Amino acid sequence: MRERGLRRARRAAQDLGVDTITPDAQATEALPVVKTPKRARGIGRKRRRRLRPGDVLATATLGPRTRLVRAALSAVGIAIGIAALVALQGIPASQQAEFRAELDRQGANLIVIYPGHESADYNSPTIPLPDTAPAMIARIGPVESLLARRDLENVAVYRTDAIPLGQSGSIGAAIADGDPVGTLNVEMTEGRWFDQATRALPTAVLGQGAAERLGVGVGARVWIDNRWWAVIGVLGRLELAPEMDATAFLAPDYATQFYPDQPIASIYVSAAHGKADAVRRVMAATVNPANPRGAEITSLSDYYGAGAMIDQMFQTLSLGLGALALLIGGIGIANTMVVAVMERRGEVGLRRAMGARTGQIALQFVLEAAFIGLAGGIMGVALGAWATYLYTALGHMAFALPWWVVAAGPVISVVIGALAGLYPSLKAARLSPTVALRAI
Amino acid sequence: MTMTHLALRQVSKVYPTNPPLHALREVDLDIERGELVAVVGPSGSGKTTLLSLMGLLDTPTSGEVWIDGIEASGLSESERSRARSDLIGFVFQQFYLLGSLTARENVATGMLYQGLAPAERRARADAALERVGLAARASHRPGELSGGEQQRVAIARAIAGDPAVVFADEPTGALDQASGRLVLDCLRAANQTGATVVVITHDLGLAEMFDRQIHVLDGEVSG
Ligand SMILES: Nc1ncnc2c1ncn2[C@@H]1O[C@H](COP(=O)(O)OP(=O)(O)OP(=O)(O)O)[C@@H](O)[C@H]1O
Ligand SMILES: [Mg+2]
Repeated sequence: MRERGLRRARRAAQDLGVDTITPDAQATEALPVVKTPKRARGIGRKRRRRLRPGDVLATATLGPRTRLVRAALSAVGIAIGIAALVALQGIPASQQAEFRAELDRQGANLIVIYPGHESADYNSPTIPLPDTAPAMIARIGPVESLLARRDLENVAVYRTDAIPLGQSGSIGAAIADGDPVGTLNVEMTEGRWFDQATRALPTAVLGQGAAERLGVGVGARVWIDNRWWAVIGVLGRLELAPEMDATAFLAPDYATQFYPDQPIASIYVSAAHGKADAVRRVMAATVNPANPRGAEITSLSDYYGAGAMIDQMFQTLSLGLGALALLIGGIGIANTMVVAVMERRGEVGLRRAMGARTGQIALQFVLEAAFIGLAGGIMGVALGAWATYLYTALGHMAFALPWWVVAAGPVISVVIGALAGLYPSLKAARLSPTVALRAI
Repeated sequence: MTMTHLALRQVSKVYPTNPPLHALREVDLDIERGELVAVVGPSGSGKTTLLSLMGLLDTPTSGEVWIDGIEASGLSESERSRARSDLIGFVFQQFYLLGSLTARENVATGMLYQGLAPAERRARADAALERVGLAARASHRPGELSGGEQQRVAIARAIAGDPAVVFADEPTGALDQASGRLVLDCLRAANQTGATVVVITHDLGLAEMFDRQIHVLDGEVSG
């Protein structure tokens, strides 16, 4: 046992890279104090002993685990800050999601294309939309559906063949090809839109206004341009295209035989959610590659701009409030750590006596503070998500929480915790072992 | 064969108070390897200061401190930390046990900075607790132990890493006579297994039981 102790001691001394000389009482008295040469110190950086990650973690969490209530209470500050940040990001995000959904209901994803004009003057001759335009538009990826309308000028619509000419009741006739239900966000109140069979038969679908004025529905016939057309469907109110509400739509394939060269009056295009701007940007070139002026394009997506502006304001405000709460939370952790270091001077002294380096003491307390921060961050994200959920559930809104908020919460709180713990930790590390051990 | 294990050469310690306080004055001291030494002296005479210097917890204002063949003034702060972890075990009047850890965990923590693996630390901790007669209390927390038992846990912590030197600063100061004797026995046992043991004590009766007494008086050392 004794031998082992000696061997160990020798080895330790050699590890330290110092010549193991035993001072001879007589000789050393005569000798000047010779410092060990730097070279002989020999303890390079690589020979620095590191704690195992598991040990570092266990040591750093010892304080919070011992004083759980205090750690939890000091984490609450951060938790509230993160919760505020999360909720204040999540609630506007939910509001924005709601706003977007509302805009979509109102046609924010609707783009309408009219023939362009030869010059900026609106009285200048129009440039007809090419017949190929609907097919070209349908090829744009984010386009979900479209409807192309050709108006039949001077074609009157009657309930019977007995009403005299010139008393049409201002119901127009049009050939509409495509899908009004998907494009214009409308339901059929009765019957159905043209399918492959009916589009080649003498059939018609009436707009809500047309049906009301004529006083007819599915099963009735209407008299248009000296022909009978069977009514197979009635559209709901066309809120997004009121100009077509009092219109009778004729089966496209059947009607085209009689009205072969009608120009396209307008094309309604429904873009995928959030893609209206992108679709709009390529629209002019798609519709009329030869002449970009050849199409006039309108959309409601300008509202998105307004939405983004509101969003920006909300975010700046909430970021500010969240930052303030986090600052207060950070001060809370700093305060806890200052107290902890003061209380645990004895422990610091003991650890130094057991061979802890100053850096290891500093790391222990920094990690401890970061750990409290992390706990606060996780609590905060949960709390904030819960508050956002509650808010959206009460308002019957869609719940939306940006993923970066969920990820950023714990990261931010760890950084804040570590920063808050920096000063107390350095204080603990700088404590000389003798002074630390003298405390109590 | 005896070897000088601890040596002070013209060591002075002046605390930079106003006026400066000469805690130790040009002390020369040699302690042989394997000695069991008591340090006695009145309060404020410089005993703790002496121990801090020999234990590399503090640096002298002047002079040389040799421990286990190493001259300490040539060491950096982190090298001294390493020397403490590898060569030295400390026992203090206040036991400095971590209240949330069991006796075994407390003892194992003593070897944390030596870089031993957790399993090895635990095994050695159990062995050390065995040596101080507390094997049965390994999973008790300090709060469940008497003062004497706590101090023996602290001794186990000091000796578990197999140090070359054990320093104890009034280890029995907070204990009654009977517990004090047990603690002393533990230190004596550590000495018998190879460690040089230096114990500060106020108890002259206790000091009688050591191989050698060193007297400190007003910063001067004799004996
Ligand atoms: N860090 C310090 N700063 C200033 N003075 C100090 C410091 N540490 C010790 N002293 C002074 O140095 C002298 C020696 O102190 P030391 O603690 O070594 O005495 P001691 O013999 O251990 O006393 P006790 O038996 O009461 O523990 C005392 O006068 C003490 O006040
Ligand atoms: Mg003392």
